[in-house]
Amino acid sequence: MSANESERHLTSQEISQWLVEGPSASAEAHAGNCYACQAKLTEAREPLAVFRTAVVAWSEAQVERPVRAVEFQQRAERRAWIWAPALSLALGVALLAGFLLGPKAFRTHTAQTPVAANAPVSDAVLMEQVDSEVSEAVPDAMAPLTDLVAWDSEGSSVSTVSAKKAVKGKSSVGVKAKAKAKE
Amino acid sequence: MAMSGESVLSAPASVGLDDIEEVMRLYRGRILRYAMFAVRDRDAAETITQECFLKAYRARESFRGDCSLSTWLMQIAVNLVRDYARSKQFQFWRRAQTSAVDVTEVTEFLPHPGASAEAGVLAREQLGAVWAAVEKLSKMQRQVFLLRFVEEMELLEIAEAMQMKESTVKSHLYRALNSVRAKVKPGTDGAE
Repeated sequence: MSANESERHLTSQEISQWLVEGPSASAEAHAGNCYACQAKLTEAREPLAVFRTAVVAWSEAQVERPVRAVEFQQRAERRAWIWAPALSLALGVALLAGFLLGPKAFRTHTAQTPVAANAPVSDAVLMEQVDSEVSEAVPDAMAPLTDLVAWDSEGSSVSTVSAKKAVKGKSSVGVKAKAKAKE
Repeated sequence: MAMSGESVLSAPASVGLDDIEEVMRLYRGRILRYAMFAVRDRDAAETITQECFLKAYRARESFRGDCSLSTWLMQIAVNLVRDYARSKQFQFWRRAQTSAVDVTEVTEFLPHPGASAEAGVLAREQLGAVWAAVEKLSKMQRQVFLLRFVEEMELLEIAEAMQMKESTVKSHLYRALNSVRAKVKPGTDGAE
């Protein structure tokens, strides 16, 4: 190594080379005696050391904490920020709609109140109807016969005999027709 | 920054792959931060990290100790990152960047043992500048930069992990370092 080489300050390229591949013998010899070059080296190393320290500390913390939980938490926070304007807009629209339609809605509500009061009455009617249909004494199979009884009872008093005849197979219509012919 | 021959983060060589929990405890941080900076997505980085250890455990019989365990794990991680980068999912995440780590989050982890407020501000500025510069690096430059200056791996180890020539690693590394230095201290000539 010549005297000139050892006196020459380190270039930026040599500093990069030092950091990437390690120092050459001449660079190391010079930097050992040159405060200016030592300062340059420190200036180049320091930001990298700071970066490394922070990144390593961060990643070690991630190892201790469940990463997915952290990520979920952050996403949730972001999502809240994303939805905040939309939610506030929706709330505004809802309030405006409530303000404009409010009195009408209130009137409608008060108008509906009597209906609500009448509800037990209509319920009672409905229950009566259901009761009457459910409590039919005559079975379905006998229903046509009861219809005939009902027809017979329209003009005169209900005759159980005619009903019995009808049950036996003679229609009351036929009986009536015979009676008319006798007359 | 000390660039010793042996990585500061190296684990004892006696740790076997059968004890996967211990291996994970020792190397998870390393793989996670590499994956984090490579894919720039926390969720994907976590998936890659888990997949890396799973692959390593399944292929533990094939590990013959030709390289260190950390280099071997890093090699798996590099391949996983490559596969991931090719996938459509990566393209989506790259656009979305929904869970990328922010520099402000990392700044909280800057140590300040008895440092003055001025030194703290300077450190934050330096971190911000390096971070911004690293973000602008190409994918390959960023990876080799991280392996060298964060993981403190030797050039040959990086070449092995990245499956590329040492000269290629050097080339990427010089470009990356010069870009970072230029960003951190404007006025640096940045010549290789």
